[in-house]
Amino acid sequence: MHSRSIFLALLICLPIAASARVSTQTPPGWPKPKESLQPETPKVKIDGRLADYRRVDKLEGKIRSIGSSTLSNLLNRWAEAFKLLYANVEVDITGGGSSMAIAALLENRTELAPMSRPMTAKELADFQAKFGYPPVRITVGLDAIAVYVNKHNPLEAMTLRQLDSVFSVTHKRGGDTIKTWGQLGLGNEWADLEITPKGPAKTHGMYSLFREMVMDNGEFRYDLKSEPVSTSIVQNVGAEKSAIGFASYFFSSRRTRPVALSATDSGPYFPPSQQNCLEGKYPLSRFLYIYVNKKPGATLSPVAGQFLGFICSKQGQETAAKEGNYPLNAEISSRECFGNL
Amino acid sequence: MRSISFTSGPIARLLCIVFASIAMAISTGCASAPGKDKSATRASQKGKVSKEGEKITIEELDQLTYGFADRYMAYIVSACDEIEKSGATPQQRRLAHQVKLTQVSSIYDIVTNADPFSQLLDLTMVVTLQSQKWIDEDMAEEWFGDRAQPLIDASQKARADIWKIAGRVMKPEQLEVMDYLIWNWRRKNPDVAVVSFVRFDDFAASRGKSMIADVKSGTGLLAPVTDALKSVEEIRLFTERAFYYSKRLPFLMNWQAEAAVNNILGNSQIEGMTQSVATVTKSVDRITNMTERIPDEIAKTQARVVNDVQRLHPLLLAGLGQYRNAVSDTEDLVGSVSEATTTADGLLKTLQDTSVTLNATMESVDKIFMEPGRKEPKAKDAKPFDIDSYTASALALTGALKEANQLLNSTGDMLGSPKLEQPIKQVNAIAAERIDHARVTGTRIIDVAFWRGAALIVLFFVMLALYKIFVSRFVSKAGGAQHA
Repeated sequence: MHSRSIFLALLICLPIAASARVSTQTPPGWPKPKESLQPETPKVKIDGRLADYRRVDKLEGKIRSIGSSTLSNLLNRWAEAFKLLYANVEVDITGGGSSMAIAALLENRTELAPMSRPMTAKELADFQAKFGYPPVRITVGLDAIAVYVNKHNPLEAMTLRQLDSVFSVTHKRGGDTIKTWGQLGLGNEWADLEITPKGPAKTHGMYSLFREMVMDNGEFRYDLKSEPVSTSIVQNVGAEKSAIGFASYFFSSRRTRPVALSATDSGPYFPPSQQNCLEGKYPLSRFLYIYVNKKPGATLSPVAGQFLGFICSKQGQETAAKEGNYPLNAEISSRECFGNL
Repeated sequence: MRSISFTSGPIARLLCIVFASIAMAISTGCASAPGKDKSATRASQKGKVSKEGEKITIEELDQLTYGFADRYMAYIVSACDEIEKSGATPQQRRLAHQVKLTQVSSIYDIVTNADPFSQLLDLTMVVTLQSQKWIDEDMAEEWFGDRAQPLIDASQKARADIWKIAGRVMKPEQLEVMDYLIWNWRRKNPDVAVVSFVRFDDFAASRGKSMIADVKSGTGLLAPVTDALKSVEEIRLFTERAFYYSKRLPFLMNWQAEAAVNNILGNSQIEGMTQSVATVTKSVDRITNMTERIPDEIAKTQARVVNDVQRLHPLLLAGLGQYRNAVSDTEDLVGSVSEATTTADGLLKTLQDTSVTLNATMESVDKIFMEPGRKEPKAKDAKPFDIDSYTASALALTGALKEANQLLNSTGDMLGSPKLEQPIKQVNAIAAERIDHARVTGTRIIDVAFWRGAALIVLFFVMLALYKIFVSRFVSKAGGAQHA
């Protein structure tokens, strides 16, 4: 009886299943999609003065990278583009967080230590103590932490002190607890609406970065709803009218809006544009780094040197821009990237 | 007292089953590799469930994805039903039904995949893409306006649910890579309208993809399975999968049928056709009203013409000829409207037949796959799709058309009837008599009658022109209706 049922089920299901995957285009009768379904991604300009990468004749070998999860995706894209130039090069990338980068570097388990923040004084001291010289910091990209509110939320701007009052229990910036949107100046139906804060999991680099940049290393509210991945933070804010959350600016969506921020209570307020980030006006912009262990006067291995040179070049920064990051400009690339190779 | 036979009967069959089970257990045990895999399998066989952070087995993952699929259906069905019930427009109701059908079908399509890990990847990808479409791209609000919130909430809930399961199998950095791969895929494929049938395999081969695919070989939190054990597991999972899907097939088929009927009725050509029929009906009404007034107008005209234009018999006859042509046109129109009515009848019958066939198919599939004595639960408070509402509309439409047809037929009959022929003959006779009389007496009153006659001729031509305009309008309406 059962075998007959299974046979019949398969007989009926298979054609349905086969036909079900036929098309992913708009079916008849469905509303035509907008010109572009893609969420508003930031407008990014590539600096035409960035140096071109010149391919060398022979290059082969393997290079390892252990560190920032935020940078892992970008490193993967760089590695793919690099492998198109050098088929015999292998780049082994492991994520896990910025704190893993320094440990791996100290133990000589990696050549590249990507970090979404600068090394702390203690981490630098540990490295110095072990090797007798400081690690070399190479600036490879630029990112902005955006603070998102729902698209229906009329809030335009916030200060870092207000952010601290919303997200932390310690309020190290000196503000009072902010629980409702009315305390941020909103009226009408927003006045008594409770703020629902959203953020990343503790293991995420963004968690510690926000804690450091906004909360002066204070403690997060206990009811902070943590999400496993960045895009789900933004999505939660888009779905819930009362929510506020923080994530990379590049995960912007049609249902969310990043607010302008000010480092001081009196303003001015800056939105997270490329220019504001490059000029350091937007208070939650950050550079992305790769630390390497290079003795003063020595040179990096050919593979590591060429790979980092590719990242600093125009082609490398174009890849970064395509993958949703702000590229470096020629000055920063020359000084902080090429300049440290 | 009867002796018990061990060679035949139910006890023998029971013993056979016990021996077969032991043999199966032994063979499974021999096939499995020592160490972790074996203990993991044993644990799962005893029904032990791994805690969060522990490695989970393929079997546990299989159960998690099945559980998710059923929860997903509950989320989406209640959201779409809420949209359908909240005073949505017919278009929104049709779309809500399509969303329910497409999304739930795709999820059941995924969970019937042979490999639980592939199921998880596809589920994570599809559910995330769906939530991106409805929430991040704001399509829910675009499609359903202020009724969108249930779909937004359901999509968000489903996404949180599947990522929680993914977190049982993948490490945080692998989750980040997965998240990025999905986000980036969407960024590069913004024109894909139906994301429910995108699969993880559709991703271009990339480093990130291989990092995720490697989870199966032990780089994540999924317990690796040896090849020998895998084949045994696959047969068992296949059987479970077939039963699982066969139990859910009836309502998917039912939704499919409803969506098909919705699509037929929502088809622009069918809509155009029903609109044309409505237009014809209106035209018929207007023409009928005009036609009903014709005898009165003709009578008045006749009276005026007979009284005032006594010597213009041939022209009068010509006018009457046109009148007859108009009657003939009306008869043609009656014929064409009859044809339209027949067509509408045919369409209605086809729709009724289709719905009957679909229902019959559904019932037989239900019967085949339903467990004896059990019924598939229906979504609570879900408003069932009702074909009757559509057939009622079609019936009403046909009824209106039939009434119009009847009216026109009777008008046609009236105009073509011998009763009307009689007055026309009388008019002819009177006109002939008057003209004859005029011919005899005309010579006597010629100087007076000349001017009077001239004025009347002018008046007659004015009247004739008006009459012609009237008739030409009538004929063009009739022609338009025939064309429609």
